[in-house]
Amino acid sequence: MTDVTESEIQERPQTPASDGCLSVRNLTTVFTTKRGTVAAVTDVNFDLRAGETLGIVGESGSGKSVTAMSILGLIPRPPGKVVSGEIRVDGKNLLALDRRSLRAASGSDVAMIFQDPMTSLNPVHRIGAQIAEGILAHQRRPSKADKEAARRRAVELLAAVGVPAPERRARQYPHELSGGMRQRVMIAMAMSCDPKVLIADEPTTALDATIQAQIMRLLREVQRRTNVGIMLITHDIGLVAQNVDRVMVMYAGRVVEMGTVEEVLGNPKHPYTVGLLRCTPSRLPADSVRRRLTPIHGLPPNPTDLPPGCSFAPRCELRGDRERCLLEQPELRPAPTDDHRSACHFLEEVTP
Amino acid sequence: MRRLNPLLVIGGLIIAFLVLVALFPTLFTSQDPARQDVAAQLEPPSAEHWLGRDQFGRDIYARLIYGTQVSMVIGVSSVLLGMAVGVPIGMIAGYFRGKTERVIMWIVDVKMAFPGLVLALLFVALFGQSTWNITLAIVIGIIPVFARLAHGPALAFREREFVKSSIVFGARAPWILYKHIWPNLRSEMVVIASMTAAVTIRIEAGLSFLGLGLPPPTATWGGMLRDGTTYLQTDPLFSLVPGLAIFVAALGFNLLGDGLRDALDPRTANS
Repeated sequence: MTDVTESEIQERPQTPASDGCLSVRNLTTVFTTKRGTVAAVTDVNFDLRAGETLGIVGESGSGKSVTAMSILGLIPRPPGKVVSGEIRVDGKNLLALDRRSLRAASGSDVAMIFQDPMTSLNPVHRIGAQIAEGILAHQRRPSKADKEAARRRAVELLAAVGVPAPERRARQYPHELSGGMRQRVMIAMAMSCDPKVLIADEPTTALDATIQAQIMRLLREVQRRTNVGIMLITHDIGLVAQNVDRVMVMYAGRVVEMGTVEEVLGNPKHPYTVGLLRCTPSRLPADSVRRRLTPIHGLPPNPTDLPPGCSFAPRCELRGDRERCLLEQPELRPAPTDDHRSACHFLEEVTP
Repeated sequence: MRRLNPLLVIGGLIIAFLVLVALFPTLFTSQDPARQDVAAQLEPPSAEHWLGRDQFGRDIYARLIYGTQVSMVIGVSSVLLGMAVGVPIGMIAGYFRGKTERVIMWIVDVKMAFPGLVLALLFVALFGQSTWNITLAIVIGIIPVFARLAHGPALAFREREFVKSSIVFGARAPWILYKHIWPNLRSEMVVIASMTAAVTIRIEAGLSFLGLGLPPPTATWGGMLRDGTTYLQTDPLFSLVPGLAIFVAALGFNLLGDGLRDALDPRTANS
């Protein structure tokens, strides 16, 4: 599978080598538990180009966050371990770097926005100081002038993410800011080192709907200005539809479908994606058949005891009683173009 | 304008007064606490000797004043030392988890099973009765208290996103412990320190009472209390006065601790 995937990606005409700012190859991350070793992410491959937004969708435990944590080097070890693969940012393989170079590289190359802005800022430090910390982290012994420069840069960054009265806000503590403002601060912090990749793990889940829209607009604006590649991890299909260029659907630690947002959401080629879309509210007329929300029956498989074949097979409506799904692990293949791939043995039969 | 917290004010005043007495005993008495006058032993209170004299004819009031020094120095410095060692140990255990945590917390648990006074007794009996040894004996007893108390919050804060994002930015463990975790524990630890000072003062008095405090003729509250017990029936003031001093000092630190807790807790600060 590896060879096929790599050659496919390299052959893509619209992907010049310098443009792929993040490329993940054969990433497998496992956790050792009392009941055995669990693969949280298995053989994940994807690319993120500069200025592009990639949406990662899937239910809890599907490996979305573990993928992000692996890229950021935040997998706690033990019990976790990235057992194989390559994570390249601008050509540097983050997994091959020693700790020190990794610290120098991450932070300036990959930044992260967390889910809950209520808990993601340190309550005892002023906003400005927290943003400045990231800027100063890469200087060995910052001088007074460096600190002053970092402080001014923090204020500029606050202004750039649309925080009113940034001078005053920089001197305030997190509890003095609303949730939306705090998420803006998080974005300012993340952008403080001009990262090439920004990982946003459900950045709007903890915010109400109007603020969600503002934050997503802000992320797009920041992206336009800095050409950062954004990895948007979310449960929210609506958010994906509006904000994302390409989508990757994960299930039980594997990528099951990947493609442009129009293709994946408009013409899904994996039964799991179809199931996800069926349980997303739509604005179709009330009498429309598609208006009904149909849940996917069953539960995601136990990660300590994954079925040998397709992980989704036990819940799949398309499978019928075909043996192949239970025995043979399906691999991502064109459906029907390279821009849209699905890991289903019978993807030709999938209908939205 | 915030209303002043009465606990904080009363506790603060008591402690401020005791500190003043400890620092400048000559402001409060002109008598020499060690000068003996056997002819005048157990003399009742008079204009010159406000609380009377002890079994060697020494001025009880002067000994009370000079005893403050011993209690405060040993009480406060052992708390500060105990905190300076215990809190980092607890934070390291909570932050690094794994084997480090198991070993540290196992030692802490073993230590917690020992009564502080008994351990201090053993230590002083083995190494001798100097200010430093007594302080060290008490410090060993309270390190686990601070380690245990710092461990829990450190465990919780290590999972917080601001710690993760600091890691992503390239921060190392000492920086994270010092800049992100310690400031979040600080106010709680200050409160605990004040409460613990009440305990260390009692331990020091206990050691002196048992004859393992600073050796005579140094005036200590615990030593005076012991001397006084012999004359409890005839001269109750002799032992009552140092007992009261220990009580007031412990009360002062407890009130100060309670007051600080209310003042530093944002939920109760304005109520």
